[in-house]
Amino acid sequence: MNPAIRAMLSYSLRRRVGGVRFLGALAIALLPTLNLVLDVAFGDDPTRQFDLYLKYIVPICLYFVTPFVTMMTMLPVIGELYEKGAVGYIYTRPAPRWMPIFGLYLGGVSATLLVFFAAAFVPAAFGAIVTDAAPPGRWLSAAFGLFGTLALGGLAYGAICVFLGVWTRRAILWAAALLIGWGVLVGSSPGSLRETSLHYYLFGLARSWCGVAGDTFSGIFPPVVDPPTPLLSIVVLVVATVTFLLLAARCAERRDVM
Amino acid sequence: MSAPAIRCDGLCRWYGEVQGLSGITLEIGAGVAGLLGPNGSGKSTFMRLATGLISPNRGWVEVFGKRMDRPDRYEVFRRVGYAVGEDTHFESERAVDFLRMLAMLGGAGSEQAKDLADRALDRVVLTDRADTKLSGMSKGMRQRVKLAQALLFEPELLLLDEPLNGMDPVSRRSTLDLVRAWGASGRTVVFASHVLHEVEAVTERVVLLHHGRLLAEGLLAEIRELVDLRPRRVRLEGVGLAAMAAAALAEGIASGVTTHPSGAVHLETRQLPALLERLATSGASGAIHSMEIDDADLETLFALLLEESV
Repeated sequence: MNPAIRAMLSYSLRRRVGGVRFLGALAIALLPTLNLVLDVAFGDDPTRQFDLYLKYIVPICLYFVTPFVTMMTMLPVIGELYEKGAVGYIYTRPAPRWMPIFGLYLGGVSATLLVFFAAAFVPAAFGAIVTDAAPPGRWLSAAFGLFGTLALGGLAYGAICVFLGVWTRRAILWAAALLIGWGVLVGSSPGSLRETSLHYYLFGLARSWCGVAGDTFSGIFPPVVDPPTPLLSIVVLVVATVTFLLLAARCAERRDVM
Repeated sequence: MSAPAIRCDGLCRWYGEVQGLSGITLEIGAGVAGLLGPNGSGKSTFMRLATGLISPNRGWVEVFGKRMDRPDRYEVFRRVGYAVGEDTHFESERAVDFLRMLAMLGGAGSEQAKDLADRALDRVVLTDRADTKLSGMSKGMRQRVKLAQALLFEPELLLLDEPLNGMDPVSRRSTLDLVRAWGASGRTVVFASHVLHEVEAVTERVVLLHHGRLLAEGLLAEIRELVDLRPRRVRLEGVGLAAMAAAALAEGIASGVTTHPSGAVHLETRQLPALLERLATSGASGAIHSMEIDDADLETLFALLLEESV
């Protein structure tokens, strides 16, 4: 790997994983697990915990964990360097600006994926070990499906956060509008508008990869009746990731470092 | 012929309504050049423009012949080291990791980056603090780390923005020595400061900025001569000063005398060296207990130059 990218990846990962925000993100990611723990402790139907994972934990992870964790871990990746003027140290090196930005993005995304890994696998491991609701293979398969979905969501939304960090000082407002407004709210609203939202494609993946059947998928939000295919979802999410990273690189060339 | 280290023409930069730099045209070649001006005069703006961190509203700046408002400007940073005016901001990093990261950003492999970082720390006498986090360092030490990162690749052009801020006397001296040596080796140093004697300590060549404008450019001695034409005040305390002052007045080396009830005497002169010679002779017997000369400090200098330019 290019030394410039590697240096920033390493710095970004250290910085993200070492901070209090990371613990906060981890706490958010593990919050849905609490529901499973409580159900095991106090619930009266010991066979429903796997359903709980699919119908409760998966959508909560998609609607709640994905945007908030991504915002917490990815927004400061480049935004804080601009805010403090520290980016001047990075941009006065013989490397085109997209390189450090890409390295910072990779480091931030790695930290985000660690959190998503915990969000998907901790409740699944708990369920597989403590309950008899489903064979361990099914728990593991669902967890892999959820992690894959969250990971692609993290890549795309992470790229949006990095772009916003480079583009504007008000990145947090824009991120809230894009990740929560455009992502969660538009993505869960009925009608064809939801097809413009990245969350719609995340649902397409989750339904397919987690093995959830038909409309029973979401007990909380309106069901995705006609979900996109996994291939289409992957293409849309990858295109969004690349597009926003290119935009970030372009913005970095133009934005003044004060 | 090789391009000068820095060349700019009609360089302008505004921050909204505020003028950061206005119509600067100059060339800076090998050696040490002092960029002198009070806070807000445009020194840091000039540095940022010269490193492409901000873009000019009008005009252009070239570093080693490369326009700094173009995307391919990064190539020139193989030859440039820049110590920004602000603090380091990578507080969570150890000094050696910070330098290593920046060395890798410059294209060095992991091991080479470590060697470069160690060498740079050695140069600013911080080897024993290599593993200290920047947050645990004094401001003076962080200043030295900033200097170290600018020196990583032995740059041909060194841009230092207020490098002595917060440094202790020993570090200041070693930094000034380093700057002089860098300039003497045929490379270029742009040394920005708002303190006249700091600039005087490293160079005779200055660029004076005031409110974003280029007020004067040239040898400090020439600018000093202008200052020396201005009446200077010498405050004396001691015994028998009235007679001494009267003699100086009669000889024409003092142009005015004010006697204070406390016994202190203020002399005004346009021939400071001659007056000092005269006072040294007269005061050798111990008649003069204390003497203060109003320094031709930055404010005086700028006030004078502004008067000249009106």
